[in-house]
Amino acid sequence: MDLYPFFDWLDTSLLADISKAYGGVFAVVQMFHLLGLSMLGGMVLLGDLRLLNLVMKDVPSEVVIENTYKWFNVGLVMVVISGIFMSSAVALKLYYNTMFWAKMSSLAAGLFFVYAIRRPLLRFDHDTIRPMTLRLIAITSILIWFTVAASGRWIGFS
Amino acid sequence: MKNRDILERAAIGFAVITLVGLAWFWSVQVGWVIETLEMAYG
Repeated sequence: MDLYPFFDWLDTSLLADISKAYGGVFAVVQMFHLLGLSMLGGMVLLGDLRLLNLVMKDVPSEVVIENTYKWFNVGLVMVVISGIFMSSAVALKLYYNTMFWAKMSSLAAGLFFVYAIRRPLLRFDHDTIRPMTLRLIAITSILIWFTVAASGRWIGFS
Repeated sequence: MKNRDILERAAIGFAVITLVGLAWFWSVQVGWVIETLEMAYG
């Protein structure tokens, strides 16, 4: 599926006009993008480090994990909305950027992992899940979201 | 097979494939950085 028509449309959309013309608006949206990313990353780290038994050992991991869901979702919505706006400023440039597609691929993998595997599995009592599986889930989750953030930063240098 | 067992197997399978993929991806990126540094500084 060729997404070029979408990027071509985005490059000439009203969003692109605003993001290209008003540097101040772009900077504020970028701030929300980073805020959303830090919120999302913070929830990922909190949940996964608890699964690795490294933090908050006195709180059941089910409780910690359950409490990260809401703010993970808030962070994700912030990142996606602000990300679309920021992409509109350089839409066609991003279309030809390999690191952008690396970021989108890892984001897709991360979302599939979170909503199709990690959350459904972690609804069960964690004592009934093998400790090795819990550790593997935590390490995979941390590395996927690290890749999303790092490849996003890398876009600026590629 | 219980739903939990299926999810646990899916998690392990996904994790192994992802970790191999990420190891390859980052080794390529680090290799590219080393190559660039070598070109710049010899």
